[in-house]
Amino acid sequence: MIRLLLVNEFRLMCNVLASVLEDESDIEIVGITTNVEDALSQASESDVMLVSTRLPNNGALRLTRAVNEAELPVRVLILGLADTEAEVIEFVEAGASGYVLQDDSVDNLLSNIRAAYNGEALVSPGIAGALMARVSELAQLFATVDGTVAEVVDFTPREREIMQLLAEDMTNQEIADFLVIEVGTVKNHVHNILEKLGVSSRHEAAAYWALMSQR
Amino acid sequence: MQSQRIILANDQRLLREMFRRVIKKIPDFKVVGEIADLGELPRMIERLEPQWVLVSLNQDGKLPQALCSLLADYPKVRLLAMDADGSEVKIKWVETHEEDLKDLSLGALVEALRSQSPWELSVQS
Repeated sequence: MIRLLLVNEFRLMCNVLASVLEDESDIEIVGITTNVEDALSQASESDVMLVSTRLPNNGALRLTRAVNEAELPVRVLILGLADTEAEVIEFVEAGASGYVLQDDSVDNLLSNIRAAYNGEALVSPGIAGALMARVSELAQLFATVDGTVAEVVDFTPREREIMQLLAEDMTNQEIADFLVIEVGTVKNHVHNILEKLGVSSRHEAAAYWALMSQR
Repeated sequence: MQSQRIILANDQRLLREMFRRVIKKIPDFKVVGEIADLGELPRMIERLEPQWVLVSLNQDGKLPQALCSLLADYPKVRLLAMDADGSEVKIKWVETHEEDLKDLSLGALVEALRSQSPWELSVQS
């Protein structure tokens, strides 16, 4: 059963959506909210959030970013976009799992809800092309930045060793045990690594190392 | 019970299809036609004789002028117009009557349609 949270400012559309979706045996509407804050507080009780793009004050984008930043397991599906590539890409970059256009059918809406629940996304060929172009653009941008960082950052052999272990998702204690050093020493190395990379988390440092390893 | 005949003439497919499904569940309402192109509306009204036409409001919240003119030709038809998020709803017929309804529930909308149906008014008069 897909637990669905409706996020829409106006009662009429909430009622209409609820009336349409209640006919589906695999979808259960677990809540209806009208604003970003309430949606965030109910996010953990739902699998998919169907968010109206017309929430005031750019609410749909703010909510999508907030869900992504908080690493909440709920999938965000944006409802009511016009078919403009820039708008769709903006929401995808914010962390949306999918989108439903104004000119989609109800069957498309239902397919999108099910796809989002399954960790999939349905995109039109036009949007797929735009997304591929964007990924390529970002990869080129990242390669440029990454090359610059690699040239500037001078890691010690020990730091490289520890980055490799961070990438393997080891804790400080596990790294200390593995390298037979004090955990405090590991903390110092991790601190230095984060500082040299200019990142704020070991997760980001591990991602950086994973990328460097592929080069 | 006489069914109220509705044409869905909203240019957004999703909204149109959702309303078709919702109206199908209401026993005294019947969707008799559905179009995205308003240019076809006069021909459909001639052929299908609806009591209501559901349309979109302009971006500025007003009814499209062409639809207002249409009402003069078909005085028995009423327009139910709404914006894309359902926050503003207008009901209009002939030249004289226009009603703004804000933040309605679906139940309230259906009641508004029932209470202002053309045949209901003719019985009262």
